[in-house]
Amino acid sequence: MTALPPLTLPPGSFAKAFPFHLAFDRALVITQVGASLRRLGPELRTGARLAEILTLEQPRIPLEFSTIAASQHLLFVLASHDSRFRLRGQVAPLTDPDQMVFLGSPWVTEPAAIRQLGLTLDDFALHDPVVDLLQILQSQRATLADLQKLTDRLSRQKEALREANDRLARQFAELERIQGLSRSILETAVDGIITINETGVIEAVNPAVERLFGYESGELLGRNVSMLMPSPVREAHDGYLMRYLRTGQRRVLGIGREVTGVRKDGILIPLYLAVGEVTGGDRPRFTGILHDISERQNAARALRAAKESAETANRAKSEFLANMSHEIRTPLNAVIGMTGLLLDTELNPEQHDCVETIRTSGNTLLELINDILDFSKIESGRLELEQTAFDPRACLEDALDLVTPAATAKNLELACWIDESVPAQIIADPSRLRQILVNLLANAVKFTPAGEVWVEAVAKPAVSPQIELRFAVHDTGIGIAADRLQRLFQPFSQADSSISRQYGGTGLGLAISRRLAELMDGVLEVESKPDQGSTFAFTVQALLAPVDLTLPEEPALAALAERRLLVADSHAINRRILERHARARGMSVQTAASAAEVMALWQTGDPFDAALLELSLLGRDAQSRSNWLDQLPVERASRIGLMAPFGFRGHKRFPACVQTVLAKPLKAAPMDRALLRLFDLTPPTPAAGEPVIPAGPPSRRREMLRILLAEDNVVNQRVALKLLERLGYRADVASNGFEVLEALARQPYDLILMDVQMPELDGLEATRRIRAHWPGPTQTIIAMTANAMQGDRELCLAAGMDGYIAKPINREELRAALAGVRPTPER
Amino acid sequence: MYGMVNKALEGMVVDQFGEEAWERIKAEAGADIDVFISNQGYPDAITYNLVAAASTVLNRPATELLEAFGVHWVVKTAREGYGELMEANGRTLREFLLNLPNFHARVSLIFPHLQPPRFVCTDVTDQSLRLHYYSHRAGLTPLVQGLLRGLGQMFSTPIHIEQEAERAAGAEHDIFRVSWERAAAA
Repeated sequence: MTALPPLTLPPGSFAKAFPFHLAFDRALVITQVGASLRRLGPELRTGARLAEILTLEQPRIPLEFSTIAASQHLLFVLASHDSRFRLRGQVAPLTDPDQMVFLGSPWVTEPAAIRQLGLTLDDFALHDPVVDLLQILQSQRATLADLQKLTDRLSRQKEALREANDRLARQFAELERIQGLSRSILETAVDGIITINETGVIEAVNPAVERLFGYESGELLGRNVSMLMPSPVREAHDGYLMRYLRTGQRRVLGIGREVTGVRKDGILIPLYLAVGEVTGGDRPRFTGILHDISERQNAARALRAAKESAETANRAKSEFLANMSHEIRTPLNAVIGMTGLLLDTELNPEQHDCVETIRTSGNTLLELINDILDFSKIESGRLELEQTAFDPRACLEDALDLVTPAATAKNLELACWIDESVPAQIIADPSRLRQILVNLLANAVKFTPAGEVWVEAVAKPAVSPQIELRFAVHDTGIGIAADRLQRLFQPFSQADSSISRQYGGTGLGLAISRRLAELMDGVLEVESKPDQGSTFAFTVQALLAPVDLTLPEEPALAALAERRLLVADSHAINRRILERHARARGMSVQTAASAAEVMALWQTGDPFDAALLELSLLGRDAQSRSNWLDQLPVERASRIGLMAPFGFRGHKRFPACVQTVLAKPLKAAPMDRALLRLFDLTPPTPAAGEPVIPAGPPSRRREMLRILLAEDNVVNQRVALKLLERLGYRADVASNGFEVLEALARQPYDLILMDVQMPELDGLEATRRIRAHWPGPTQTIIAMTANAMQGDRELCLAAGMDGYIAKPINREELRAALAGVRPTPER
Repeated sequence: MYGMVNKALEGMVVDQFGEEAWERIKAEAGADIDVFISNQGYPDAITYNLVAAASTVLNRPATELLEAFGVHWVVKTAREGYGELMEANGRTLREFLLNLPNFHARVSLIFPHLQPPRFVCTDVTDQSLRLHYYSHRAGLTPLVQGLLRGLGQMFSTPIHIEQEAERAAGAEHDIFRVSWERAAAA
């Protein structure tokens, strides 16, 4: 090693290059201290002993000049006794062999330490890297902090990721579960489920589809769905899809419908198909659900067949019934017709009775058959109600007329009470209303051995313009036990089978009546107690006629006002009827229930202007009645009217004081006429009402006229027959045009009263055929029709009829029409 | 640019405008970086993009933001991370400014990839000096002004800055005349 020439630093330079130097002598007394070191440790002054201030931490040698001098190659670390600072550096000999110098700087690892030690960067020599090391350290720390931050963030993100993964795993598991469930549903579904894309290619099918169409598993995938369809749908299907995708027009989507599918083996199967659009996918898809409806269709077909066969059977039954009744009626009509011919011949009384019995029984049988037909018509819903304007009071009185002979024969008192609430004109079906009334009245008469049968009618407003009419038929008959009341309305059933034996009848009457009432939106009910009588009441709905056709009141009636009248009748109902009627005319009325009462009233109090007395009150025979009347003090009441039962014929033997005889049952118009006659006032014209005296026995001349009544309605038949009978005629009956032709083929008739509207062959056509088959003036044909319109007459005459009367039949019109007919001479 | 700059920018935005604003700015700048590592180098473009995005998102001129960033750098970032060293860099504003050339010489040794600016002080008096700023980066003059103001705040010394030459206006480098009040000097 070559010795270098010694370098000598000027003192300023040394101090600047080594601001922390410390020089000391052999006694370890400080000889010089750098400026920065003085700032760091002010106790390090010249003259101070090193060992008193500093400790030698490195090297581990005794703090002696010689040992220090021998350790120049070692790193020296000196620490202040109070450990406030440490110095790092090395020792070097000086030119003076008795002195050495420590060269170094403070050992710091924290930037803050520089300031804490009271130093600045300027205290360090520029070549000293301590500050830079601190800077690097600091930068490394900052980076560490950044990395820590990054690690924290990554940890947080990892945690979040783990949670998200857990969530995803759970969702995935749930998704798998749902998918499994969906798959299971699809695979086990009974219905076929098929998914196609927008080009019609099958993307998925469930096993049911394959089963349904007979394909192997997977065979259908990727093929066009139209292969499952028959022509021409197969060829058109792609077009349907394209049209939907182009226009969005739905024809099939969302709507279930029946289609036909083709199996692999070519067999066609009926299917119910519902197509839906699958939304939210990468391309349009459609899902169809297919349900095999073969069984349903078979069942429906079977049901239809069963229905058709039932309907056929029902039709056959109806036809059979119609045919049967026709077959029965034809010979029956012949029998009845022949009795008519027989009755026109010379018969001894016994023979006459036999023929009459045959005729009556034949008519009963005919009615029975008509009842059965009627009922079957109602049951099958084929009955249509008429809507005609008519007077319900007249309708009720007509019905009363029909049962009056029977009631009179049993000596029953028959009456009818029509409340003032009942309007004079309603719109309903008069024939059917009368049918119910006649049925109930006939029953009442039939089942009442003695006493009264009376009917009352009231009306109350219903939903405008409708009114409800209520009719109640009361009797004092044998009554019905409570437990048998309901069976009454069962068809073909009577309250007691012994009853039917005793009283006869089909047992259809009440069933028919109840059904008719129901058809007219009403009800039919019964109240009854054994041996106390029955009340059969029913309601019907009717329209109020828009125009009230009530005739103006007879002006003469006004003269009745203020007159005093005595009414005597053993029946309370008759007293009530007459009393109300007379009061309505302004009269003053007193009533009596026995002859003794009459006598007592007659002899005391104010005198009466007139008296209406029940015939039977006065005595059993003409003589006793005459005697009774004679004893009356004439000066107290010279005017006397008698009320006689229907068909009473002993008028001629009454004393002169009897002004009038009023026939029972009591009716409004006859009552008015009787009152007027009592006071010698002019009664209304006969055209409007009854004859003054009830009809006598029919004359032979009239009976000679052979009449055929063509009328399909049973009650109308009875009304017409009764009218004819009153006028002295007898007639045979035909229920339709064919029966008319049959009757004419059997025997000639002088007059045919022809209903225009009849089933099977109507009156117009029947007339045309009669005129074609029997040309010449052999029979007169008079039309009867409810169609009271102007054009009808011309229609009838054009068909070959000779005359025309309107229904309901007016007695005088009928009489006038009959008067013009003469028996055909060539008979 | 070292990560500490971007990090400081993040600190300023979060401090003054909140975390959400910073996320919006990062998204706007297309900087998908969670944490900037202080002594890792990042492309300058990231910093420039962040500043531009901040200007857009916060609706403020970039110059204003840069100046604010300079203040923030001195007062918060440098003090928090290098506070002791900063303080050790000088007891007064004057001392600190005079030490700036040494400071950057050292920094460039420690951060070899750093291309630090160069500062030269001339015409030094007790209350003023002329600071010459050389940088290979453009547009950061407002940042330097902010840094100077930040130093004024750090040393509680009211400071006056006057730009005497401007690189953006064609000068060779930026020159600031910096003056302060003696009274406030420590």
